[in-house]
Amino acid sequence: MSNLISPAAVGLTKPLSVIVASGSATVDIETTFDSTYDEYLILASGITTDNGSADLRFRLKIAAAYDTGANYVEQVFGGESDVATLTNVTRAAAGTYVDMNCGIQTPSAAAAASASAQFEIRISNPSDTTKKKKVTWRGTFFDKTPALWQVWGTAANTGTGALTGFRFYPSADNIVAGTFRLYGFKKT
Amino acid sequence: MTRYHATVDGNIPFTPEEEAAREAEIVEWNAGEAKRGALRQIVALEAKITSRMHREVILGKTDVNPETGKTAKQDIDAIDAQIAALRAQL
Repeated sequence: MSNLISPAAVGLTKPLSVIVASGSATVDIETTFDSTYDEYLILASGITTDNGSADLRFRLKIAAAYDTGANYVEQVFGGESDVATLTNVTRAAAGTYVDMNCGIQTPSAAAAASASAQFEIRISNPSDTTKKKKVTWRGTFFDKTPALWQVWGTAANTGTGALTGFRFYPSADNIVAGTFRLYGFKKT
Repeated sequence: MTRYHATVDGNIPFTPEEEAAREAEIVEWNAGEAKRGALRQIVALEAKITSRMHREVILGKTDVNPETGKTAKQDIDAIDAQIAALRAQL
C-alpha cells in the first residue's frame, strides 16, 4: 500500500465550508472563494425541495453583490432513464439566473421521499478580474415521475468582477434538505 | 413566514427588499407552470423521434415497430400530432 498518495498531500481532504440546508430559501456559499486556490469544487448532495415542480437555480456573487441582472448565459444537456436520446433541455443567452436541472423538477420531499438530487460544480479562478466567470456542473436526480436523469451544463456570468459567492435557490419555496461542501484544489 | 439564507454563520433572514423580490419571482414562476409543462412534454416527445426512425422513413421501409404496432413514419406522424397539440397551448 506504499504507493498510495497521502490524502493530506493532495488537497480536497477537507472542505473549506459546509452548509446544511433545512427549510432554506437560499444556500449561500462564500467561505471562502479567494486567490488561495485556482480551482474550486462544490459537492452538493441529498437535495430536496418542498415544491414538486421547483427547479434548482444559482446566482453568482460578482463584484461583492449577487448578480440578479440579465447577465447569465447557459447551455444544459440531459438524459432521462426511460428515453434513449439525450436532450438539450435548456439554454439562455441573457438569463437573470442559471437553471441547473434544465426545467426538470427536483423531487418533492412529500411526493418522493426516497429521491434526491446531487451535483458536482466546478469554478475556476474566482478571484480573476479580467475574465468572465464560468461554471460547469454535472448532476443526477429523480424528477417527480420519478425518472432518473443525468444533466451536465455550463454557464457563465458575463461580468468580470471577482466571484466571492455562490447562491443556490429553488424557483419556488424552499430547499428542504441538502449538504453543500466547498473544496479548493491545491495549486501545486 | 420569514425566509432565510443558509450560511456558514447560520440562518440570515431576508431583508424586506429580498422578500419582495422573492415573492415577485415566485409569482412569475407560478404563472409559467402550464407553459413549462407543455414545453417539458414537447422535449420528451421530440426525444422519442430517433435516428433509426429517420433512417427508416428515408429508406422507405415499412417495418412495424413491435412496441407501437406502427411504421416509423406512422410513429413520427403520431408524435408530431401530439407536439402540435401541445404547441397550441403555448
